[in-house]
Amino acid sequence: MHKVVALVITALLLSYLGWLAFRGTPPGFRTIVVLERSSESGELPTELEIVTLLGFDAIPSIEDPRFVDALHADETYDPEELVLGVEIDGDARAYSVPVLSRHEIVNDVVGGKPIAVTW
Amino acid sequence: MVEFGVSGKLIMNALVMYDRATESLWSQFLSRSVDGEFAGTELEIVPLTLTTWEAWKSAYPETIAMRKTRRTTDPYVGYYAGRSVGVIGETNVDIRLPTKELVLGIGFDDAPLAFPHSVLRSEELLNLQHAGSPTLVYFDPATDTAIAYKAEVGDVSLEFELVEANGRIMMSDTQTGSLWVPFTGQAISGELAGASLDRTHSVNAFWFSWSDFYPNTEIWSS
Repeated sequence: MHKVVALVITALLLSYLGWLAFRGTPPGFRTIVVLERSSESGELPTELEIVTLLGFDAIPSIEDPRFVDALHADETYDPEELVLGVEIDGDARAYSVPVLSRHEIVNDVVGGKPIAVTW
Repeated sequence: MVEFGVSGKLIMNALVMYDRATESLWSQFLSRSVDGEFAGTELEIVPLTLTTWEAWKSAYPETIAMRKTRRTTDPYVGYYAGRSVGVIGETNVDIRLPTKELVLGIGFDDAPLAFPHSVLRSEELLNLQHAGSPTLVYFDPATDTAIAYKAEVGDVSLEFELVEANGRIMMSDTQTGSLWVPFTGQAISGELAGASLDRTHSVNAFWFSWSDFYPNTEIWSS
């Protein structure tokens, strides 16, 4: 009897943790959302399928990134390395694409403007 | 200020973000929220440049760079070069171009137009009218950097050509002969010195991805 209760509690706990991780949508789950998209030139897909592969933050975005000047950056950035560069109001910043590939989003403030760099 | 996280979801292989304030979902490609409290809200686009570290430093010598602890390799190097199409394959198959051809896409919902990098590589500079606006497309074959500008200063439309000045590749407008830096769109000498060109919203994407979102897209050809 106690074993059954323990198993039920464990099952409930695991389900709850799973729900927390995926906010209610299990992996492989597909939902359809409908958008308004106007176009002068023709039909655009307005029904979009959202496919869930992972839970929120399974891929960790970067918040509060640190920066170094170009001279120091040369120690870890190859000349041919791809970067996403942004310049706002004289504030020029480069974000390494190999790093972006692992994080997909960098939340930053550039030239006083909060932005999300996405890859 | 709202922070964005990776939702783990995809729309046609493209990133879906969530905001940490409301957990609304946002499509990266469409630059708007598709689900949740913010559904329908559009994001303000900030122009970025996809280029090499060396080329970016050359254009912006005062730049800073996101710190990393060591030299890194891109985990997707094999994917970029290979044939596989995203995680879930294509939604709208369009055989006009090879699936993994890189294109510069502009116009988006209003008037989608794709410039294949293979075409840009031989043209390097294009002046065109797009959706009623004079548009300039610059391509640097050394770094595969593709940038699109609105080719106007105030009400004046400009046409450009590439010239060499002091050993550097520059753009010159045919109206005034002023010299402009291709990577930044800033005029550094001549009558228009100090002016800068606004960027046209653009993305560099694989053809399969662009044509998934814009199956009706035009393709630039010379």
